[in-house]
Amino acid sequence: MALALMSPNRTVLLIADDALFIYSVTARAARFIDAVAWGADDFVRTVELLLRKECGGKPVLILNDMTDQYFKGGQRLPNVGMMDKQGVLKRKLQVAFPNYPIRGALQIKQKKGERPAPGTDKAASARVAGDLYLFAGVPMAEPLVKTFEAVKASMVAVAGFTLLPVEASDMVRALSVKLAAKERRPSEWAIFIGQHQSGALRQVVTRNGQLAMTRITGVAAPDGDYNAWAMDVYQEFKATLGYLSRYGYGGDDTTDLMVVATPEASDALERLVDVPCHYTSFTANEAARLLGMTIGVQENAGFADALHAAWCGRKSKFILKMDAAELTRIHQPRQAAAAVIFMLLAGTAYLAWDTASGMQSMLAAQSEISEQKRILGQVQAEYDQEVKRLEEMGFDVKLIQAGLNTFQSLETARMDVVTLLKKISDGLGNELRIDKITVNDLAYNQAKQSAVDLTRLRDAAVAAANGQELQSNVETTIHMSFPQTITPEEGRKQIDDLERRLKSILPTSIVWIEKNVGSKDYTETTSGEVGANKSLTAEELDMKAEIRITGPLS
Amino acid sequence: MIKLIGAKRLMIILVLAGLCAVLAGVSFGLIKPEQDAAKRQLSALKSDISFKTTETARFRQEMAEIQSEKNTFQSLQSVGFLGEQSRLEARKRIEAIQSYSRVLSARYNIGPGVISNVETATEADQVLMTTEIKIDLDALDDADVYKFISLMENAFIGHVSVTSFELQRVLDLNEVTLRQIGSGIPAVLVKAKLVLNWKTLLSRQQAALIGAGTVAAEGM
Repeated sequence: MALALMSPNRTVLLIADDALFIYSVTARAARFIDAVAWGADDFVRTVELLLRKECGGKPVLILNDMTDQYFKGGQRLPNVGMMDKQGVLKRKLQVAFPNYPIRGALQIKQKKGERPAPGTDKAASARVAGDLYLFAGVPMAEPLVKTFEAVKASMVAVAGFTLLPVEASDMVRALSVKLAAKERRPSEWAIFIGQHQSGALRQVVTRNGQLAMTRITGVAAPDGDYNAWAMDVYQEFKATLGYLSRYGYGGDDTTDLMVVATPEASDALERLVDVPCHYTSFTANEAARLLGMTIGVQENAGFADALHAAWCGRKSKFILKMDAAELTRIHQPRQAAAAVIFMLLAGTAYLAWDTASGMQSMLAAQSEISEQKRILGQVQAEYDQEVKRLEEMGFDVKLIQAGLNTFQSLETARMDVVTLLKKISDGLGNELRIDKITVNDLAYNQAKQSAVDLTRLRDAAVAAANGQELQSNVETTIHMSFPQTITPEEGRKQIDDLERRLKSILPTSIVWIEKNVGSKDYTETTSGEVGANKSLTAEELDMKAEIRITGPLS
Repeated sequence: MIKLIGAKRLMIILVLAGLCAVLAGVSFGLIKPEQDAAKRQLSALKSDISFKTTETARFRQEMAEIQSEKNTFQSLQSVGFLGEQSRLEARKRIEAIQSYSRVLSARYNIGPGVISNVETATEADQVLMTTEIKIDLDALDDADVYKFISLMENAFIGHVSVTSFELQRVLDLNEVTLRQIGSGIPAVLVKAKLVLNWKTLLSRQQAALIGAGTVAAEGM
């Protein structure tokens, strides 16, 4: 009840023995609307109109305060699995109240000692092993039929069908705790006595916060004669104590006695109470304040039914919601419709939000587009200005860039044959001469590239180790021959010297002797003729050499 | 069912369902496409602005560079790098180079022009025309051949690069050849074979007009 403002608005239909009492419960008040006697002409139509017009079509909570409600305590369920529990409970309820179509079961919290201890015999364990329930049953009396008819005709939603004593038990506990405050522990037994407008005196007895007993009896309202009223109430209270002794109540047990009454009636009653107890009396408004709620101005604050209506009507979860098939038939379609409406509302809200945010986003984008167009206009003007300036120079900027860049890239890829020939010429010196030289740019003459041999690989590895970058873009072949006037050894020496010089002049190239003078050739057949007038020709003497150079473009 | 839930609830459900449908239609049918279109337009605008801003900055930065590159570009223009490859002009130029380099003869073969796209010229809508020229040279001295090559590379039209070169000594300089030279008979001591690539830039429109075929981008 702390979040009073968040509590639901409901119409509470308090079903008494002689009439239906209608309360409109909001966060601020529990307003009595009307009482319609069961025998009233056109009962259903009257209640229907009250529910729709006076109560604004709020969901109704049916709170049964009739005498005809029956309880069977101490109903223990056998130990069954979770899946079977509901079925067993339903069957037990049916057995307990075979003729009462409105039924409910409330699980009772058990003390630790009530559970079977390990090691106890099986029979004893079975007796106390299952959960303990309080069964409740209500016969389908004519007032209920009429009430259901009215609810059905009014088209209002149904919050539930509950029993006033059960739903009031936590209120009694809350009052007991509040009254005890920090000064003492709340009493084990708490007795709440309140008279309703119908004249019925409802007594709700709780033990450790759980409903222990309830009684409803007829008592005349204190119409000026408070002593007579007090005497009647006291008699009923004594009778209740008498019943309580059957449930373990001892005369010396600490008890909270809470009475809703006017101060005058309360004084008269207090004088009569002679049993040891913490007696507290308050008006309905005072009790509501103690519970942290407001019930608004009441015509007679000595009646407790507005307090019950406010307490039960604002509950978000009921202690025992009775299962009434007739009411379910009315309630379920409306609940489904309410769920559909809620989902549609949520969907509408989401779509509205999505549409609104989409619109907002689109408008923002449109605004940004306008801004970007304006910026583009400025940028375009600057761009055009720069292009114009460049055009005024008499040149096509892109053509200049294209021309220069392309020419530069062509130059980078050009084989510098003249420089290469000049370097080779320097390497040859004045003594040596070549028979033939070929220079190929391998980018255009892949087929002319000679096979890689081990020597070249070795040279490449050595050069790489020296930090030189070797490129094989150009391949040069030098063919040389020596006159027969020199020995092959001399020729080989000169070729070896030439190789060294070329390597020195062309450090980024690989230079190797493909064939040296008089080299041993084991791969080809050697043939010739010697004898009269026959001597070794220059070719037979093998005075030819071949040097290859692989290197960069320039 | 309607009797149980009531006409009012039914109306509310229908109205809400209708409202949901209308809102969904507006949201997904109208706003979302418009939103996407606006986003695309905005993205295109931003991209355009970015490009123009970058280009403007580049133009400004390159203005000074272009001033200095102007002379180089003019040189390229003057050597005929930007333009078609006139075969007649090429013949005249080879003749002049032959004469100046003193090679005894130069037999040339100018191949067909081949058009290719190059990355550096795409933006200016220019393409590269490449022509292979094969030349067989007869010379008295290999130095004349080198001079011929040097002149081809530096005094020919556009850009010329040697892709293959072969030089062979065909006669030794001895008494016989000296006498031959002395008597005025040209003696061919060396022969050379040259393969060159002749390249110029020309507009795509020019290339289309002269009917040269386009091939894939060249690696150069």
